[in-house]
Amino acid sequence: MANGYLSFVLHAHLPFVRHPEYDQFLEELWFFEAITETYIPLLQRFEALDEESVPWGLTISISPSLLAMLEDELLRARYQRRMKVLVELCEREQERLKGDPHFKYLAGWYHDYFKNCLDYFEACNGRLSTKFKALHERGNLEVISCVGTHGFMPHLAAIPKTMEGQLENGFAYFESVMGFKANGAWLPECAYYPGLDERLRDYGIRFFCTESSGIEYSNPAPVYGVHAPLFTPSGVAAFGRDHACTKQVWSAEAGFPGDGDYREFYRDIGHELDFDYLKPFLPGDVRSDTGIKYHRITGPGYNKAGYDPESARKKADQHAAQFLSQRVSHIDYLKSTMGVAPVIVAPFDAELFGHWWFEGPTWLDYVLRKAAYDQSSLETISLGKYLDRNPVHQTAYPVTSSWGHKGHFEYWLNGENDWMLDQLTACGWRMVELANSFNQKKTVKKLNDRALKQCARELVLAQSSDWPFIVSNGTSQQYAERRVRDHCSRFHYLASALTEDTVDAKELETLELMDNIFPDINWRVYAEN
Amino acid sequence: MKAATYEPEIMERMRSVGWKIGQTYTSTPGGNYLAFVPIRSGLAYLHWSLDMEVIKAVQAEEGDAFNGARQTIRLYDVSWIDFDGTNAHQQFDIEVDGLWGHYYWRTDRVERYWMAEAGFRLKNGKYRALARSQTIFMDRGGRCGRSSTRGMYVGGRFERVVPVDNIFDASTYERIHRSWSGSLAEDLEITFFADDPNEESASRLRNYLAELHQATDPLGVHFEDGTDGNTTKPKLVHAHDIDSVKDAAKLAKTHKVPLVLSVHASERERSGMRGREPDEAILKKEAAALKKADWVITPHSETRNHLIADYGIPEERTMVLPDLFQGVIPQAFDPGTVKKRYHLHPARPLALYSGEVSHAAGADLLMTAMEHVCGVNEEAQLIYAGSGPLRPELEQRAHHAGLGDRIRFVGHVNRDHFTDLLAACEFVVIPARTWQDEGLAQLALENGKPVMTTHQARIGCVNHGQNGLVVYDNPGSVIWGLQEMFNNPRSLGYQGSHHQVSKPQSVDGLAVELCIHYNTILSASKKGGA
Repeated sequence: MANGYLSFVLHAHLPFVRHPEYDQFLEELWFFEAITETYIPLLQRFEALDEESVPWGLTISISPSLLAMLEDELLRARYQRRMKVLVELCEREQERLKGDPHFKYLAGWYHDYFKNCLDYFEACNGRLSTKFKALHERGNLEVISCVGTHGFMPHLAAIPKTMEGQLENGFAYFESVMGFKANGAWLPECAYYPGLDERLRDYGIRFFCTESSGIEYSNPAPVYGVHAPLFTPSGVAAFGRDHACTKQVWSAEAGFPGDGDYREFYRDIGHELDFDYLKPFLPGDVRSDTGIKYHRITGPGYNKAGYDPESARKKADQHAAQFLSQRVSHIDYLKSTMGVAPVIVAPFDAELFGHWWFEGPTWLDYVLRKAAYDQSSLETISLGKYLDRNPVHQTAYPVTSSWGHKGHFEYWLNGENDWMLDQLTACGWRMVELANSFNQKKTVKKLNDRALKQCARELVLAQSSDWPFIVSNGTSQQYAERRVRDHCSRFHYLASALTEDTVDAKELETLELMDNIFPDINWRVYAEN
Repeated sequence: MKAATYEPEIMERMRSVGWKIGQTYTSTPGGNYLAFVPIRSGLAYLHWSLDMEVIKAVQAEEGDAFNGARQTIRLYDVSWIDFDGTNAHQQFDIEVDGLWGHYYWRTDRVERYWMAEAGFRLKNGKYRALARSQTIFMDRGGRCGRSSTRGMYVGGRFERVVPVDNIFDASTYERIHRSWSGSLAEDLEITFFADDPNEESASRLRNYLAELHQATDPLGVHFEDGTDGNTTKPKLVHAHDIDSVKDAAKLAKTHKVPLVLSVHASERERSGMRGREPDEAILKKEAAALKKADWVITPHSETRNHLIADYGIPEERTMVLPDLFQGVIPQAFDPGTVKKRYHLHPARPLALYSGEVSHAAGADLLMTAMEHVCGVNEEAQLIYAGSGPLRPELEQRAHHAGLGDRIRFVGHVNRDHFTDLLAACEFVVIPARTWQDEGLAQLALENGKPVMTTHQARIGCVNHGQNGLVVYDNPGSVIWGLQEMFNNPRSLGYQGSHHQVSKPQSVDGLAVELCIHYNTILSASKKGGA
């Protein structure tokens, strides 16, 4: 029996980015890139592990907003279209680079890569959720949920019913797509406050992850630090992330992804080649990433050497061995000091693997395989299975925390973005008022019922924690601000129409087409009566 | 798959509706509420929106008194109370302006629950609240000073949630978890009988069983007193002592369920303790009762052995479950009590030196280092256990340095006291200048205590940074080591056997053991055993 466990937790999430009002939309690329570089590569590797009967375990959370995009027919069709464009671009690139053997090879390599993704996507009719579901049912991959549209729960708690809307609608949508209730939940931004666990418990959620300080500063102090979960007084387990181990993976400076052999993220041909040549392959009239990146990190400075997938693969192999040997030593040591089986929890944004760190899925695959065959100290495991095997833990309240800067909430609430919370609170308060008022009526007109659902959709879309994050981050700031303003104004527009009983069916239908998340969203959850 | 785009006119309509509604955006949409959310320890955010109509209504109610009223946010410390508007631990006001606004609120009062109200403070001092926030918990920003090893057993989707006194008992609970299949997958109803002709004994037994049965309740094992008149079919009948067997056996036979007999004390034990000959009649009764029982539970292995030898009951059907009611329930080990015994501060960390107080053993080196460490760490404490040529001199040094109350010389101590000291100390110091026996270090490590020693002591079982520190035999190095150890002995994480010295037998633990026994009994019965 292993001395302890290593548990990777990948959090797959993107804000709901879908713009049917335009033929193509730049921000939809976020979704397409994540499918190509992260979700499909991860799925393919997980399937291979299962097919080869490798003993492995991992937890992945899929946010309901991402799930809604993965299920959306329009976005699926657009992804298909995008991949065909990229395959064509690679063909053009091979022609353009015929005088340069290495770069021509790379263009061909990308051609095969995109083609492979497209084939995989088409083979499942674009429904990647079915692939995740199948893996979950085989037992090694544990798929868990997140809340609604990734709302920042400690801040939504100001109007508790709006938090409830995120929880109920998110978990219900997850169940409707995946066919099972989530065993655990990823808290958006790992943001926790004492009391949130009770709400999770009411939805049958058994565990969640927190920042390491959430566990380390818990009350009472944790006996085993972050290497064993704590049960909150409500019985929901809180796992703390192991900082040393995660930093090695996510840090571009101190971690593996910064190695010179790995692919350079910032040298995309979309920003380098002649604009007229690229224009037919771009989603608009501005330059954007194509996903074709010919260079490796090489070192500091702009001059970069050509990317070599084989060298990068070998480096991923080495780094996986290095990572694993450090975890093995750590587990052996922890076992000698702990009365229970230690667990190292390594949570990451799933998009780190593949999108930000192109070789990430390969590295992960190697770690899982080496953990299965090259040592016997640790076992990779999903968090749910760990709890099944180790059901006794200390009881404590984790401290209020998030995985943001300094472990606080400042990134999501500061002078730059506090207006967003003001707007969300105003919408939330009005939503509760509306729900209270309509919930009292014996019957609600079908049109009004639809409008109430749409109000709930606009509210949850505005509540995504991504918007204040993007504003603090300074990237795509205008887009994030626009999204909050748009959803809030659509919400108030409909709310006023409902109050005055003047809902316009045509306008409502248009809004339903545009913001179509969670078809069966429950507006009554906002009612206090 | 569907088309990747809508018809142009539909897209145009979407853009047009989006644009039209977008024009209605307002930065102050209004409402009547107060939001109060934490940002970090000591910093929170307040956002209010007040409805003019509500203000006008209050104005009408108050009349002239409203003139000159100041818009105010009132904050209340409502920690651990049912707030009734008047009983806050503390309250204070912040003057604000505007129907819509926000405020970043700083406080040094953390680990408290806060609530806020937005309203108006009238000139006559009356406060009219128009909106009230949710309660928020202003959390601490650092480590918590409280420690507790209480835990919880949570099975599956909260199928079973059981409080656990001490998480060092985790292994026991995990054992039940592993065996928790078959019969115990569902709740069990057990009928018990606890008759005793002696009134006092019967009362003691019943009180103990009440406590034990309460502890098994969350585990899904529920008891019904057979003498109350049984209505439902039990899964098992449990008789306590031989006088209960008659009725219990009857019920077990009626329902065709196993009969378990707990022999809390046998006649042979009782007579031995009281210095009399065993009563033949009772021995016969005991034999008859044991014959009727399908399973027997004894409080310890000695009883089990002699029952097997005397009455020939099958070994595989005789189990042991300790009784707590026969003696005083041992208290959990309290290191503070031991420290107080030696006139030391009970809550402050203690280092233990044990052995000859000599130059070779580095006793003087330790004293030199402690004189410095005590100067910078006002909590550090040390005990010298043992005697030797340097003891009078070092004792005097400690006294003259004003450290007599923190560095104690206790001389030779007996085994029990040494065990207590070892359990009470935070770490053990072996500051020797020459080779030392490993015995003390090994004993300390076995008891979960880190060890600080020197390279010169050549103690192989101490691994620097893992289960202790290895320093050099000079004061500077020893000072460094002591400071590291005093500041955070737990950072070495060495507490492997901590539970061995601090774990008492608990009713919770016994309840779990009892459930395991029931599970075994019922599993065997299903196979046609009982």
